[in-house]
Amino acid sequence: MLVFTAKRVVRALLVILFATFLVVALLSIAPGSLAVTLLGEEATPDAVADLEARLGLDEPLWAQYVGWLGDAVTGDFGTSLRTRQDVLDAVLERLPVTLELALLALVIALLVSVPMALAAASRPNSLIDRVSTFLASVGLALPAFVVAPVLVYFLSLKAGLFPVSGWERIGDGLGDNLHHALLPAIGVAIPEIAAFQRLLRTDLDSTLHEDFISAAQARGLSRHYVLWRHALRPSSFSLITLAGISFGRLIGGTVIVEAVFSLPGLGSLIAGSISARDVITVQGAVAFIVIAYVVLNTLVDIGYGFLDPRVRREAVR
Amino acid sequence: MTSTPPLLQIADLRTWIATDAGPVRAVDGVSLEVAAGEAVGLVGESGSGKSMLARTVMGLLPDRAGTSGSVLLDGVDMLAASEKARQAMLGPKVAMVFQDAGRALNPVVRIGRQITEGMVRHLGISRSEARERAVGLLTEVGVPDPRRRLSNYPFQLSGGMRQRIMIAIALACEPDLLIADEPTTALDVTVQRQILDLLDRVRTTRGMGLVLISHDLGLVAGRTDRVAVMYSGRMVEEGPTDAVFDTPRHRYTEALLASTPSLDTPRTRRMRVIEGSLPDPRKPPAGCRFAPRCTARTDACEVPGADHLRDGVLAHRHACVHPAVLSGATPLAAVAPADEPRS
Repeated sequence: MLVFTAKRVVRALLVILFATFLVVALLSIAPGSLAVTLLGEEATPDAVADLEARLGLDEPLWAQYVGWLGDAVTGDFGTSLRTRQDVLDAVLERLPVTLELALLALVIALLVSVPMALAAASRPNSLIDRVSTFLASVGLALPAFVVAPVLVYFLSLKAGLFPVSGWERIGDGLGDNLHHALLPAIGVAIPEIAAFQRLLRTDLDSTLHEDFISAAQARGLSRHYVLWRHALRPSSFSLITLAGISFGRLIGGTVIVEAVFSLPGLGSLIAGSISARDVITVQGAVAFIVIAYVVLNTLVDIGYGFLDPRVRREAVR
Repeated sequence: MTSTPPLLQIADLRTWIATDAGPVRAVDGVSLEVAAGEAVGLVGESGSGKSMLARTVMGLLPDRAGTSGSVLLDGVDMLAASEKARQAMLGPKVAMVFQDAGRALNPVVRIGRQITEGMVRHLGISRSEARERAVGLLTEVGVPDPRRRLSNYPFQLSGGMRQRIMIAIALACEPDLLIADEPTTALDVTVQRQILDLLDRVRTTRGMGLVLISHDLGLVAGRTDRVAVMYSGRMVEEGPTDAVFDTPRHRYTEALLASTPSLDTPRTRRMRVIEGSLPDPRKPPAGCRFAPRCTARTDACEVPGADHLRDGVLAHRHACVHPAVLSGATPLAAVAPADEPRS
């Protein structure tokens, strides 16, 4: 298991290096001079040259990257061109909001989709299977910018269950924090629930045709027990993979929901920085997302080892 | 009124699977009884319906399957019982050993749990008690170092060990009847014998009933009291094992025995094969289903109902219109019932 984990970690580091290199390279690859774009067409050549030197754009790409990486590992991701705020500070300030949102959404999605898929798969073509599969199709088809306002309308404005918008930090009380976080998280979770349900339902279906399921049933074990104990684990490989990918995606991709609920998350930071052409902030924030993504997927890979003892064995060989 | 009812009493059982091209009649009007402590062989080629018969008894049929008739196990009709009532029977009353333990053991669940979970459910004992019992069971079925095996996963064990564990799982709740469906087909020849000997041993020491399913007549020969032969979902012959082997009456059984190599067969003689293949289970022949492949076939064989079971001497029954007569055996006319159609 140790060798297995070590291999995954090395692979993850390589991926992070490659991905952050692309992030840095974006600056040079982007058409036109970045300095001109930032300063405007009327800028003096001196000012342009000065900014290019400050951004390191006059150096070769590899030197730019080494410089960026050197700074980054010491925690220096640069200073925002727009707000003069330290990028690391800006990212770290917003990261908890996005992480909580993504994590909460993921937990909600798994809590809802797993029982839904189990119920559907245990009785194929039954009413419960049809209803659950239909709901999943609807959820998959609805984009977040439709789901989120609908949730706000019914649950906040009509029912008054949740605040319409805004955020409370966990430090200011967990209850208040969850009260604000729950509705946006549900909004983020709905398409994930749909995808998870469909995937797990399909994998369960093939697992339930395995001999070892018949054998478990032949021991007189209850339907419930066979599903949870014998069918769920061997069916959840694709689900774990997808959940890992989803989590990574959500960290960078809750922009719309953050906008609808006016949440101070990473998504709104990136969106704002892009419109202000604040490349340094975008660079830092994207690098963070890349790292989060890779770390999560590595954890998923290692998770396979816990899920299936055979994976551990193979990796050691 | 003194005779106790049989442990397993299957009466006019039909099992079919709905398909787009019409129902596939896997088991088509089969009756079979197994007494407590008795070993019965169930023989037939693949597709004859023997495994579906076993799955019907265990309630392991696919969703699109239908059944009629009755399967009485210790007085409980397994086809009519509620899901809960049926599950309560599986383990303590009847257990099953599957063909390929490599596929019938859950690859991601430890051996220990797979042995103990049934005991915890059916015997109402704690997990630690069940683990102690599991150690005893593994010792009984000849698994070395049983305590350590409990924390193993199936892939860490050999095929023979896995089948022993399968048997230990089946024995866990001390069933009255064990159904072994081709328990050695997936194993090496040397291991096959060990597993069959093990089944023999546990059956005798526990006084358990056994249904041994195999495509191989030779395999059940020395190990069962009675044998039943199935063909295309029908029972074609049934009787004391020795009688069926020494004087097979049905032409199919006869052909099946002739196609099995044995040490007595002269090396110069070519092995016989049965020409043709099993009929389409969606539209089987009206009369005897073996008729299209049979060398003794006449028009009488194609009359619907021609393949009903006929009583013979010593509870040796067969479904043949033209039963075989072996040299030295009683001539056919002497034992055939008067109503038997003749040609």
